[in-house]
Amino acid sequence: MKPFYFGDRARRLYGVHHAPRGSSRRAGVVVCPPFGQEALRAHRALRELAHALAGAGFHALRFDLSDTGDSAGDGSGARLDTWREDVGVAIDEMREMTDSASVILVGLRLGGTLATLAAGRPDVEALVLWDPVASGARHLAELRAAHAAWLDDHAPGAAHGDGEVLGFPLSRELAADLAAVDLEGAVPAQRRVLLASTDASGRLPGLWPEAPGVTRRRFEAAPVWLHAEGMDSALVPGELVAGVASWLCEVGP
Amino acid sequence: MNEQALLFGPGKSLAAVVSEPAKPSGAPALILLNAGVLHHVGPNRLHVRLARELASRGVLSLRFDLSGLGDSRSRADGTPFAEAVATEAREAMDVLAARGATSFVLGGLCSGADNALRLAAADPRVVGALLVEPMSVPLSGFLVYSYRKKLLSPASWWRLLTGKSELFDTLRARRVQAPPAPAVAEAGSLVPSRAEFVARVDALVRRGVALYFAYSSESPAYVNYRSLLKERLAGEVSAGRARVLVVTRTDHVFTPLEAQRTLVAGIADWIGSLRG
Repeated sequence: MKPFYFGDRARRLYGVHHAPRGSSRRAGVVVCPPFGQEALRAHRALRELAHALAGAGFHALRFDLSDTGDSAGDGSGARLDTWREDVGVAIDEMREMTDSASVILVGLRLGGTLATLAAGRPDVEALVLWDPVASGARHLAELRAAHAAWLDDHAPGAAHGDGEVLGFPLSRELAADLAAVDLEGAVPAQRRVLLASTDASGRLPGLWPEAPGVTRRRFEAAPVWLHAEGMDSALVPGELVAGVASWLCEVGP
Repeated sequence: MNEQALLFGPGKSLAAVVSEPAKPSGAPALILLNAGVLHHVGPNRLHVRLARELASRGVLSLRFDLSGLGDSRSRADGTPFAEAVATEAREAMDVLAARGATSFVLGGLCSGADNALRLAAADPRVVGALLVEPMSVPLSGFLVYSYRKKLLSPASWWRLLTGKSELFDTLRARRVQAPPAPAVAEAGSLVPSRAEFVARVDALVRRGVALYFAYSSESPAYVNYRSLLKERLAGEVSAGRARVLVVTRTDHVFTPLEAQRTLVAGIADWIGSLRG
């Protein structure tokens, strides 16, 4: 694991490169994180996923979206389009690092959404979308409800302000961006797409029912991004990590 | 302000970000330790907000991941965790010493504060300890205090009535808990007993280390402060050698942005007032 900064001087992004162990595969994997508390709680799981991919011979790059984590910005200027561009910057960085013509994108929750939105370029060969946020409006409503519940517990009577959600800034502009996201109409052109679901109901993800290149798999795992004991322990879904790595080994360049 | 990501330690296995001010102010540099198993950005990104505010005020800082946490590899040498934390905190100070820092504030939140309190006396370069929500073995009355407010809240009552309250989990957990910890736990333990907690604070006072305590008003940690330290530190507080910040309407990790702003400003004012 090697941490480094990359991208424009005006918008530097923090990344961690996991170099492949053993013989190296042609394409590298860019791992796109979720937003806010979900990113903090899922950090360990994404680290272990990147570690497993490196063990399978892939270069893997985890990174923080701008205005989040160690990347530039205080959070107030975060926008969905900027984050989609950040994924593009990470793709360019990975291609330069591996001297490769293509990459694979892996994304968790909103990271899966961003990976889908950024996958319009021809150099994205395959996609792994782990419980992606398909409806931005629903995601926003869930975040706001969780924030309101926090306020009821800790600051009863406080105004349920729009400017933040569970510890992180959420501007009106970003909220509007999120509300407009609907992945139903954003069918990826890639022929190799894995929709990985940990839905407790056992349902497979119903997104893009007609798309030919989509593989749907359900994994037995807790939703690591909601893990309530975030400070004391970290969840790593071993079955999912192994399943994603082996699927990429099967289909990956 | 310039930020740099780097690896340090003998095996170059520890990941860190250094925030370097354009113009140093002469205040000591800050080393931020992990809060629980959260990685080095800190709960709610607090470490990043604090480091950048400090850099804008001329203060150098380093946030890093202890071995096995965040972006740092695990140690391969089998060193016990408590010893590894001490070694790695010292190595983190060495990184900033190579950039000109001569004195340090060691700090963190929750277990980060516990570690800072445990280690600050061990290195003469440490002139300040930043203790945000430091924990110790709780006083017996802390559960009542901690849930007093919740029991008055309609939302909490609803969760209680529908069996969803975390109070049930706490009560279930207490039923199967081991016997209460002894008054004096093993020397150097990670979560100190009440006696150890007070002894560690006393040792820092004797050494002249500046102290900054920050609490959420509803936190069990603050109950311990009021019971164990408030009177004891009254002289230090009035002489300006210790500061205490208590933030209301927040939680253990300072979730509201306003609470984060208050905390960051308080810490930055304090470190800015120290001289290396």
